[in-house]
Amino acid sequence: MTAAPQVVDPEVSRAKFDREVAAYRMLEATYRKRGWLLLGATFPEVFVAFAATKIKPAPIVAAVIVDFTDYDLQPPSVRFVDPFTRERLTASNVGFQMLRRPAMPGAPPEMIAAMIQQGAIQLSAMLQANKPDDFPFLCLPGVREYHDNPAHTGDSWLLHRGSGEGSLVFILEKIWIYGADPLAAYNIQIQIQGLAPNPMGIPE
Amino acid sequence: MSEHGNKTADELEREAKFLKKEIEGVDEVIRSEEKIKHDLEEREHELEEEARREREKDHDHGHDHRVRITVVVNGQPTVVEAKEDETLAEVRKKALHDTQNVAQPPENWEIKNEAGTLLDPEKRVGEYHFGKETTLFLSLKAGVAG
Repeated sequence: MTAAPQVVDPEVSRAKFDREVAAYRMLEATYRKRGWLLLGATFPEVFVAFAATKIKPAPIVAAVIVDFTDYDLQPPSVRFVDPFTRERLTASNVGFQMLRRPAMPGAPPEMIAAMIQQGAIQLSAMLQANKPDDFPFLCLPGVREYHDNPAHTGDSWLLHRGSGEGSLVFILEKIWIYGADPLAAYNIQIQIQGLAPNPMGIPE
Repeated sequence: MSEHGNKTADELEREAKFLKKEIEGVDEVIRSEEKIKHDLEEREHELEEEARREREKDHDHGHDHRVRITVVVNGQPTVVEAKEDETLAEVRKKALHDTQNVAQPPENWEIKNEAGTLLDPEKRVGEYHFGKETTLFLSLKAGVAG
């Protein structure tokens, strides 16, 4: 996917970018407690990494560049990148999921959790890619890749613009809620490679 | 002879005087009891007045259980002074109005605390025991994707 051209007066996009970043900075300490780490903000890009704070030691589980080029005639673009090199990641090496379950009004959380563990609930992935070597995109109204997708031509960004969707905090919060916040433990697999004798116990 | 047996007129007169004194004594007791009753009623009235003044003082000094809630609407903070008997839905409505976020119905905005825990909009402010002030977050529900 190539970068979209800047059609809107850059000063307009820049002013709106500055407003989004200023709003974030005002509550940065709160967001940091959630594990959001703002690593850079230079127009048109905001670079944020996400740590899973419920896990000790807390791993950095994702990093994104939110690109405000042509904002807000266009919604921001979201790219999943390596948190250290900022290189864009393919679906096979992003190592991060954003899962969403269907609404189940009235069902107790314990029952929902049990049904998820048993596979009785169909979870949908909000981070999608057609092939493992494609760049994954966030399938969420308010994100440029969603509105540019041929499957969503009937859901124009202009129907969402100004509603609150597509703001910096909205996008980061959705990545956190559906991706980083549910992470609660390392998934450890132990594989037995063979048997190891005690050297002291080996006779001559 | 009188109707009261064979008492003389002097005896009857003395008895009448005695009864008169007794009646005067009873009247004195009644007056004394009435004074006690009056004093108690006065004290009761004073206490009721004092209670009313205390209630008014509490109200005047902001002790009517108001909570200062900083509501962050999509990253934009606004302050709502809420009574403890107001529901979070009412607080949400005020915050959305103050920040001019009226494009989406209030039900589309989830109410969360700083840790991101979802709060029930139908519960009253007092039920969450926020203290004198707190910060809540209004988060727009993710649209249907996929």
